[in-house]
Amino acid sequence: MKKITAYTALVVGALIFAYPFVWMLSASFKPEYEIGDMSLMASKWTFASYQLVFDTIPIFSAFLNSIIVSLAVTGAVLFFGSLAAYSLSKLKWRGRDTVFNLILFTMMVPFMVLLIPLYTLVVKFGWTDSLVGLIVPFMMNATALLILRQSFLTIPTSLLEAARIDGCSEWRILRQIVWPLSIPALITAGIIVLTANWNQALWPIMVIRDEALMTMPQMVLLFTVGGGAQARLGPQLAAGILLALPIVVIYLIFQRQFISSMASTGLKG
Amino acid sequence: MVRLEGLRKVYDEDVVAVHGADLFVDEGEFVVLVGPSGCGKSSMLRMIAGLEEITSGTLSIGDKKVNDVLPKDRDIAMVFQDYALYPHMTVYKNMAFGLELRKLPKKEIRRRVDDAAEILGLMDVLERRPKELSGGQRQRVAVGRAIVRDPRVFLFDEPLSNLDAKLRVQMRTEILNLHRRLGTTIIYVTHDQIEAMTMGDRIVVMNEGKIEQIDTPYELYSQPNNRFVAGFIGSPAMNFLSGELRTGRGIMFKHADSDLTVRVPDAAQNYMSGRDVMPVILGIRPEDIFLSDSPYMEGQTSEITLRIDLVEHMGNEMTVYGSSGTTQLVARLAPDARVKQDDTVTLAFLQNKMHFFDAESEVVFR
Repeated sequence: MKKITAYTALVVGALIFAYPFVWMLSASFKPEYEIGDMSLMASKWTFASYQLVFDTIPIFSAFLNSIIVSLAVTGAVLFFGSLAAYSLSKLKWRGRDTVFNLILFTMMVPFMVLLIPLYTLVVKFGWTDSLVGLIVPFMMNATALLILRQSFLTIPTSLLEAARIDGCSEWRILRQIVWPLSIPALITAGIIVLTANWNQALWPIMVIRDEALMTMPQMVLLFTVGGGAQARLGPQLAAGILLALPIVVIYLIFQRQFISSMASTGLKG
Repeated sequence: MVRLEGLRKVYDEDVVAVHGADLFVDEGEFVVLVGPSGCGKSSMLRMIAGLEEITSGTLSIGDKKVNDVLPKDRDIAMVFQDYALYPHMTVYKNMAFGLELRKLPKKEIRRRVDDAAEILGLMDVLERRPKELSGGQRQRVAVGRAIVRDPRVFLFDEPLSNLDAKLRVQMRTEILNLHRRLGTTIIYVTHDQIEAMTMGDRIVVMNEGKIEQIDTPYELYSQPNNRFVAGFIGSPAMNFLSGELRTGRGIMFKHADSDLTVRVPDAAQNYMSGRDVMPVILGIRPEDIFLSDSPYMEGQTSEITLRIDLVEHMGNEMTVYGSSGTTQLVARLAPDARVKQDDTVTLAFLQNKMHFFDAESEVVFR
């Protein structure tokens, strides 16, 4: 009996969470005049909304730009993040804890505060209207570093010492011992960074003017509120679906590692 | 082979883990570092391994000073307490890893790993991962990883403490056999004095960061340098009785807590340095105590009357716990001795097995 109650509650919760997404998906395939109602069914299914998106904006180049930027950022964050996390968790040096606390502190600073100084810097470096301006400022990330550090801390130090005696350099220890043992944490950090970066719209709007260099969120945002969608709901929803799709796919692939790692690090996403 | 001169380790500028240790370990020797936890034995081993920086002093392996040499270049191999096997690698890979890093030819690596696996009985599990192995097998892989390297010195850091009692005894013999077979120098850390006594050619007893005595197991047992070593080595531990030396007709020891009076060798005179009375501690091992009517005891004058608190029958002997005033005493008696709890018995000490320690410095009189 208890079980049934629990399952009912969970099912209701799941429906509440899932409904808007499912509705959005179905609505993007409905004829424009049918979108107004909240039902999931349509009198006929159509690609018209998607057609308009593909016709009006260079969505493929935006998709490609987004892929390049998010992968570069995620790769860099995992690489530099694990270097820093290794040093902060497994090497002894003076001032280590202070540095770690400073890094934690940067998590408390809202991005809005950084926006103007960061923009000024990017302008100074001449990185506006280039993908570099979207990548370099985000190559390090305190949340990812924290996740990686917590994971590295669980690796017994004697393992690293054995590797040192076996003849590993610190760099090789990271590559051949620490990374293979931290795959769930790397995936978790990777997904968090990838999602956050993939969804970023504000920063690209500041840095990129050239349509050929725009990323998906920026493009979709300009399309939906900037008039490209001709104030029609269908194409706006279709663009939204296209934006969300890659993240959903990645999440589905790595779901198991992601959840297990979230559960074990005790961190919220 | 391995030489420590004034080796010192200080943590965080004021915690001294090892106070200037001097030790020479000969080629092929099996030396055990033993002491209670926190005595500095592990710090010492880790300094030899290069895992811990040396605060001051000199460490040489072979003829080379290696204070600042990286662990991988010291030609040592180490077996860790928790085995430290790489969980994501197979047994084969675990053993081969160090050799691959040294860029040995594949064939040579295969040969060495197979040889080691053969010796250690690991042939059937080479493709398994550590978590699929039993404790004893993991232990063997850890040893195997060390021997494939063919190093000049093996370092063992409490390698048996995670095994159950039976396996521990078995692995003890296996490590000894391995040492006999390979003839490589071994430095072995343990807190278990039985392990130390049964395995070491020589034993280094440490306490509070200092080396208390370096000797063969027999010497350590029969000729302890000080009260700490006397009490640490041997189980049940040596009995200690406080009292004083007095000059009179010869030198006598008078127990503070009973009528026990013992004639002390005249050599003790040297320690009295002109004093008439001197506080000392008498040490006597449980097996050197007998019932005073036992035939061994003829002509022995040292007698103490004891009330028996507990008798433990071991089959081949019995352990008797008794007290005289505030002094507790443990004796190992023959299994046929007719004593039982609450009896009052008279015991005698074997005269030539008594040790006397200065009450203040706790150093032995010889």
